[in-house]
Amino acid sequence: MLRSLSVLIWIGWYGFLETLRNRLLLGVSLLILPILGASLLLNTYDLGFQAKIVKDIGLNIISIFGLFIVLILSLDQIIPDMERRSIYFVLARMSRRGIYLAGRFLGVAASLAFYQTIMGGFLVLLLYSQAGIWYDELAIGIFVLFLKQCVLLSVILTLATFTSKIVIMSLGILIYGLGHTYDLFRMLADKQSNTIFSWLIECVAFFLPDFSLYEIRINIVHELPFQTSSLLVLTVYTCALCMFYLALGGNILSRRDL
Amino acid sequence: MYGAPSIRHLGGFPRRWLVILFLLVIAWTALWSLKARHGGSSFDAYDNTLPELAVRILPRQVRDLVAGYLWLTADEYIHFGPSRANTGRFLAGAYAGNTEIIPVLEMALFFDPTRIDAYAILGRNLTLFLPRFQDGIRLLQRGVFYNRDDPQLHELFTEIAFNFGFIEDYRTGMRNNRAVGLKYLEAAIRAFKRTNGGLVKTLSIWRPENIQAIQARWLLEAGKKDQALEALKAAGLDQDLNIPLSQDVFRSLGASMTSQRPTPSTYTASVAKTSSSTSSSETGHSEKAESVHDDAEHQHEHQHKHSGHDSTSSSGALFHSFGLMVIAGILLFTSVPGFKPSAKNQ
Repeated sequence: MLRSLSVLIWIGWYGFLETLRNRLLLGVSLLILPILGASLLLNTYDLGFQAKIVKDIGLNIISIFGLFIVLILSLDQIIPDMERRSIYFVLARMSRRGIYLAGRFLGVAASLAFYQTIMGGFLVLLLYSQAGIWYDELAIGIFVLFLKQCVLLSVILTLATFTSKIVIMSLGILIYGLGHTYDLFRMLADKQSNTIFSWLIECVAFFLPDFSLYEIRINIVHELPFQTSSLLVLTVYTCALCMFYLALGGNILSRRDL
Repeated sequence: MYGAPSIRHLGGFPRRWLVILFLLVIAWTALWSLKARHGGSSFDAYDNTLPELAVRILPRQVRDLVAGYLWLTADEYIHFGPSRANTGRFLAGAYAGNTEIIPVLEMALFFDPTRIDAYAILGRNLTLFLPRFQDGIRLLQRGVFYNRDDPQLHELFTEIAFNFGFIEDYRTGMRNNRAVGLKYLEAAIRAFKRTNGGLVKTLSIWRPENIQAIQARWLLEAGKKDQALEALKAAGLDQDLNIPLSQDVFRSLGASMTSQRPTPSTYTASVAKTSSSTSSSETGHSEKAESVHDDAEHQHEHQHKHSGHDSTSSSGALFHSFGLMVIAGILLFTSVPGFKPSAKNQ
């Protein structure tokens, strides 16, 4: 058990270092900071700094960049290892293939947390320097974004165990889009009183993540109270989903003929 | 031996590149010739900055989508209270003095300059509730320019007139300028007729009957009783109706009218009649909007100097507008090859 945990952490750590060495990602992340700073240019009529719009745009930029990190980095984790045959050296030192998958997940999640902390910290400092107020609710917003992207990451890593890159990209985006629109489909099914359609939606929603739960932009931007218990439930939901997908991916990987 | 190398001696390099450059120049010329021919959308640069021009690279649908999202975001911002940084400065649910919707609406207009509703809200917020009168008027004029064929164009003209005519009620230290406002009301009526505004159903209060009621009131204040009476007749207001505004005006005029109100079908005709009697010939060009703007600005400045509403004669203003139009027409005709003033109306 301890050995497996140690292997998991080492894979995650080296995955994180590998990500940091990715110059493209570092360049893009450095480009994001001036874009966040450009929100100062929104003061067109000299009416003063408007914190709400800066928070809103900042969170959206961080969310989009996080999505890029997940899509770009997760594709570079398992498939290249298989293509280069370097996965054999790693798997030779561990008992279960699921540990390898979880380690890769940990590496990308750590990178995600690293970049989001930098961007979120910059946004909070920018707001403090202009408005003179610590918008601490932004930390919650960025944490929830991190949870959301971790779920997507686990889904994409699971897909990476058995499909090609193009299919992963397509399915990943499809699942991400679908995850935001369950309520819309439920409403349509209710309006049409279509039981089969409703049942089908619930079946899909049971296995695929519901990303609309992570939409707390309104609470963060408009400074509405956010319950701690909701945050805890969301964290539990995220952990459960990530573990489910990683277990599924590990199972598929262990049955696959490499 | 060391003389200037000919084109042939350079291994064909300049010749090949010259041909490519020549083709590029032909393509570029064809592109801009086409744009000049269908200039309605391509030469809309009113106050374009480099970012505004750059964003035009995006397809129209994408820009509309982004603008629509920002419009909805502005609506969301209106319905929530201000941020902690702006506590107590404005109320939730109202746009009055709401500085937080301004960047959002500005961005919506950045992506889609034809979003006419955004101009009205943003312009009124800037002029009446925030100390940005000139900015608000300029923005509304920009809206007129970009929406010159929109059936709601008359609403923008009326917004400008309203801002000029009622600014005293909202801002201390500023004076109403109803002579300028009247010019914009006339432009609103003309725009309603030209853009077939009557065919569009809207919930806006800026319907022509309301516009003409205000016009009548302001004409009466300016001592133009005949025109005021004509505007009232066109508006369909009579003294039998329990409308304080019309009763006041009728009482001042000492006129009597029948209680017959025009039907919607006859209304457009009466608008046409009134507008033709109160204004010069209808051209429908953006230059007209520009000339109204220039005229109004000129008159505004003049009135500030002389502090009298009737000091500028309407015939002088008309002459000024006509002169500006002629100069603008000559300039356009001589600078753009193949320019046909009549083609813009088609």
